[in-house]
Amino acid sequence: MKKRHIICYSAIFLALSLFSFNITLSALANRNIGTLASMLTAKAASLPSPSVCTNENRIDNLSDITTAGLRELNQYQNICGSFVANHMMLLTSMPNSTKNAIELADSMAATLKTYSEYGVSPIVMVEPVTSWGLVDFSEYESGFYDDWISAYFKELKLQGLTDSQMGTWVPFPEANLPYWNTANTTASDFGVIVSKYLEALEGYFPNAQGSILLSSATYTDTNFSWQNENYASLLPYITNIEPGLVDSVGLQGFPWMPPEGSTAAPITNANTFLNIKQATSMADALKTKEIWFNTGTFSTAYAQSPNSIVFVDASTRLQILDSIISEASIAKSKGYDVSINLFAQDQSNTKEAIDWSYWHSEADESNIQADAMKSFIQGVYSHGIQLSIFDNGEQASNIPLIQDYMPE
Amino acid sequence: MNTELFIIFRTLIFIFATLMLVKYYVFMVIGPFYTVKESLRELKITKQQKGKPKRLVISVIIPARDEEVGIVKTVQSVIANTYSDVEIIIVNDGSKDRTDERVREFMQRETSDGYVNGKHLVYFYKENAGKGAALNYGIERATGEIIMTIDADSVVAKDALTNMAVYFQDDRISAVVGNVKVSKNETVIGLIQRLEYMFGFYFKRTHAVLGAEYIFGGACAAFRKSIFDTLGLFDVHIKTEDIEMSMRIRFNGHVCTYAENVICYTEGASTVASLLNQRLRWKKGRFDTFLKYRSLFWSSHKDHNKALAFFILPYTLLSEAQLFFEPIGITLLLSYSYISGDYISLTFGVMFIFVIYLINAIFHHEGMTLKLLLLFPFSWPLFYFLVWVEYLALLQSFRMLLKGDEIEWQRWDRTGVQELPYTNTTLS
Repeated sequence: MKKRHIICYSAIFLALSLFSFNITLSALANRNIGTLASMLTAKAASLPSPSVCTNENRIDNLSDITTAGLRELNQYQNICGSFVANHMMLLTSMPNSTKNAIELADSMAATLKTYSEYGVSPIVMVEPVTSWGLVDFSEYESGFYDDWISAYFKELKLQGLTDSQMGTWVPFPEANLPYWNTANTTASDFGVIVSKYLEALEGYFPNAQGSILLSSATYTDTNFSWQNENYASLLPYITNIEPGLVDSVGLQGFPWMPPEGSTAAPITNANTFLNIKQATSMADALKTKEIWFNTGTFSTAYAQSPNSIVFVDASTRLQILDSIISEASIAKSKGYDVSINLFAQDQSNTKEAIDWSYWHSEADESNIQADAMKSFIQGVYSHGIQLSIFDNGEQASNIPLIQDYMPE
Repeated sequence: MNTELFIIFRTLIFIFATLMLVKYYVFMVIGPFYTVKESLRELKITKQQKGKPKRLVISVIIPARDEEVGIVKTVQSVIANTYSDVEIIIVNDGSKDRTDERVREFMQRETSDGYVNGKHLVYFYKENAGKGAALNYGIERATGEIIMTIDADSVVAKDALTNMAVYFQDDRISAVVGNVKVSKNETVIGLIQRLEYMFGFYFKRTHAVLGAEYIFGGACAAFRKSIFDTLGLFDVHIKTEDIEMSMRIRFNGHVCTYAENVICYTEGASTVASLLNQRLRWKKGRFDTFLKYRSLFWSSHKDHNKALAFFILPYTLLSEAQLFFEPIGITLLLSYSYISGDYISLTFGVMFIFVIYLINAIFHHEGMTLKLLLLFPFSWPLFYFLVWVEYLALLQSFRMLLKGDEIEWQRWDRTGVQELPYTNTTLS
């Protein structure tokens, strides 16, 4: 065989190999071979463990704490070797009796006092669920829950909580998603029910912070599949909120990967799933300058379906996280106060079947998934953006969670 | 677009992989029955002959062209054989090196009457006309009922001829191919070929069980002489005369088999260039022959072996088609595993090869194979190199087929085989 033939055929062989690699890279990681160098350097250079996440000192004495969120925060501090955040998101549900309201309030009061003791400000997500199941928004709107909500805040007040210890309250988060019980309401009812709840809060804690959170993606009831999202304006949801009632507006958006074998295109750029225009338009309408994003990345999706399971590597996660910072930075450059809540709890064992976490034990401290998170935290603070974390480690058994109501 | 292509390629790979797994599974399951089949054949023939086997004279033909390094060793190995009714015919095909000198020196030193160790040694020098012509030259002058061809860069095991004669006690057998092993060579290329031959010749067991053996390589094959009277001599116009003759025999409905206990050691290609040329010769020769005997594919003719026509030959073509997609397939599997972190398919592939290794080791003659077993984790990159070589040979074969070109006779620097034919072999 002549040399020129060997060279020519080898070139074909190599070209086919690269072609195949490019297709795989594009289909699985939404990248092309042109970005290979950056991918490799991302793994080799960007991902190596940043020594610390921030230059601030960590919150002390969290090591023996039993409160779920703070216990997890301590782990984040261990991984980061520094301060991570002084805001933590936590979930609560709705009371469905006076007795239940008092019990829930007592439990919440204890938690919030502990948070306050360690200087951590809570972001309380009020999930529209009770032990009965999903709250019918129209029923709430009619005043069915008013007495119990009142009893709840009254008890919190009786427990001695101050307005600042209450932190920020976010009633009915992501209520534009169809898995909530919205059958008897429309988009405009969201403003009514949120206002109703926050006014009740203000009645007992006039200086507590109130906020809203809506999903960037909306869906129709009949077409509720993650890839059928519509990133439409969210203004119809806030028409009935009086400007000045909420202190901040929240936009929730997450990346999406098609299940294994699907031909659907992944959504991995925050410019799509967390577009700031949706947030700033709401903030402008409600006359606030505070915007926050509830977002995150996952290492595994469809975790309970072996044929559909999807894995996302650390460099891809970092790329997504970088795009989140970019969006947040744009908002900041436009004069908004911006914060990000990093949703980072492993939910792979729930119906949601997504692992949003960055490690599974402290033994994983050095793994590159954790490094991606550390780089992200560094980036967030370096852009003057505030950070909060959601990770309770394990889900509290007395709070029904959104994934319990997700379609099978 | 890329996602769609990924799905298409993945589906293609899945189809190819499934078909190949079926093949290898069938081969692995059937292969072990080879020993049973051959033992039963031997028993039946022994009964028929009432313990008195026929005396068959084997004419061993050794064509040689510039084989000064190995020719004497080849002849010595035949002389050292335990079988006595042997005629050794050396045909020097116009060598320009010292082959002639080496053979004459050896004959002068070892014999005065043309016999060494009871074996008749004959030497011819002729003008260069190619290997096929050299073989025919020897066949025309052979006196034995059995014609055995051995390359001049190979040596036979001490009991190879004795074992070969046993197969021809069965009057139905027209041709037998021996078990060719690559001589010990500690280079990477040598190692790759040893592993490859180990696999290839293990699978000949399955061919034999199915009665579908169809390649009798010139390095170590034997034919009943009458077959040449019936079907004619080797085709001198084709460089892969052995492959053509093999297919001609199968096409005409003759019974053939594989003899695992007839062991020959041959010198493998020692450089990448020689390996490329060797594979090109094999591939092009195979394509030429397949074209010539294309009516054998899916043939229901009574003379044609159905396993060969409907399973072995179509699968051989399928393997070539798979090879065409191999750079895409292997890269896709490796990159998929790396990017997704899902190493299940890759692990399955590696483990499958390991199982084949293991089965090979269990049924192989030599304990050395168990040492090779330890190489299994490294076999993937080694075979990837071989895929590249085969791929180049495939493209060049296509090109030559389209242009109607013929291949040149391969030449490479000889180093000589390492093995000495002092060991016996028995069927495991």
